[in-house]
Amino acid sequence: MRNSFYNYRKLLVLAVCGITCLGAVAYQLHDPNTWYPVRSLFLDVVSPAQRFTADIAGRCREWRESRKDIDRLIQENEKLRQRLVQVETANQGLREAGKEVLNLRQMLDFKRQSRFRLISARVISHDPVNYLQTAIIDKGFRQDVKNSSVVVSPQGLAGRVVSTGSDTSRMVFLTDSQSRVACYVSRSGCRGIVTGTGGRSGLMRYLARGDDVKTGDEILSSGEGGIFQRGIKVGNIISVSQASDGTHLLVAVAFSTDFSHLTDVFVINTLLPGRR
Amino acid sequence: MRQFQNATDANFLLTKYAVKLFLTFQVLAVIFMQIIIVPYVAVDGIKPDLVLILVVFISLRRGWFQGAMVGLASGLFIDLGTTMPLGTSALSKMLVAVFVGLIESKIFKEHRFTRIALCFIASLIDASIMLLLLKAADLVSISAGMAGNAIISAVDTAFTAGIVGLFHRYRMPLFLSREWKT
Repeated sequence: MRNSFYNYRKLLVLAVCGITCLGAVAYQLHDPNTWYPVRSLFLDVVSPAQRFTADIAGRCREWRESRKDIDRLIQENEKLRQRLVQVETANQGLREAGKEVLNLRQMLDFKRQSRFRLISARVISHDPVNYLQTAIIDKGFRQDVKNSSVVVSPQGLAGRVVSTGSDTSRMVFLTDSQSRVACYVSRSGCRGIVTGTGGRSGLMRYLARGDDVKTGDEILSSGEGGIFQRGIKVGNIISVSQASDGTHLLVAVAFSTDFSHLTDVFVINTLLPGRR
Repeated sequence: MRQFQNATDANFLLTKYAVKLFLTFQVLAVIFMQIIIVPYVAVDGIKPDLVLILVVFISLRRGWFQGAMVGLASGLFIDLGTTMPLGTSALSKMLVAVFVGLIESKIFKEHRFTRIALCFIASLIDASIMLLLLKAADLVSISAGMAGNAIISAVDTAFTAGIVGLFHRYRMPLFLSREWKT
């Protein structure tokens, strides 16, 4: 009996609570501002905790965003780095192409302005030993290259052909110790012979002690000997000194052609008609 | 099963107040989490109802009356923290607690899946009662989207109940269970 009274009491309490809730809901529909002070007080109590949680959540969100930004920046950095490598490689290629274009333009201008009929050729190989200053070019007798043909570069005289094949020829540079070119000083007209020394410069011989030569003078081929045509630039005088016996001058000549980087040359075929 | 018959026993009194204190602490902590923290863990606006989970668990462990009282108190606090008429959540949680309390002796409540399924059903009942009350008060219009949200919320609550049940079932001190009569 006690249990049944206890259960009935519970049901009564439940019913009272339920009816009270329904009544509260209905009353609030009638007057929405009911419980406003209580709600305000409750919000005042919980708002510091809500503000604190919002602050923490904001910081977490910022941290997450910054991590995303960092990851994105790292990926972007990597992509840009790869792109930079590609661009630098392409740039390098373009620089080389640009040099090539300049070189070819220079050669074309030289060919146009030249009074000779020129056969363009490319140096395909240098001599494997250091004692000889020779090279192989990619034109031979089939391309009308003859033995003893003169070889020039846009900068000046380069050498001469010493043997020809069907499609290749061997040439000797001016720097070879066996090379001899009859030259003259363009300013004063003094004549001499420029010989190679095996190095980068040559020697101009048979200049008398009183000849008017000085550093910087331009040396041109004189055409004597019948091999090298007249008026082709050979180089410039870099030093003038007297021989030990005092009878003649020792003149060092810097060749105008850069033999170490020589790649494109012309073989002189014939003199163009109407030009000297 | 032990039962204390002598109400003047000191340990019995201590246990009785400790139970009430622990329950009060539980209710306040869950209300605090529901109002302050749960909005930040919502996925696409869907939040689990921790108060409902607490009401269901207490009803399962301590009977429909205590579950109803916890539902009433916590529902009132939830209503104060929202713009719903005071008593809406209280009434719906109370009715859910009565429902769970009435069927708890007829189901195998020890199994985790039973508690998860019960939380799902309780969430649907809670949503239905609240929507009916709000519809009667002309504060909302019931639509398919709202029904869909209620179902998704029920799934979310049931999933959370499964996780909570890992701690609540096995960590709860024995004196909180109904075997210890107070």
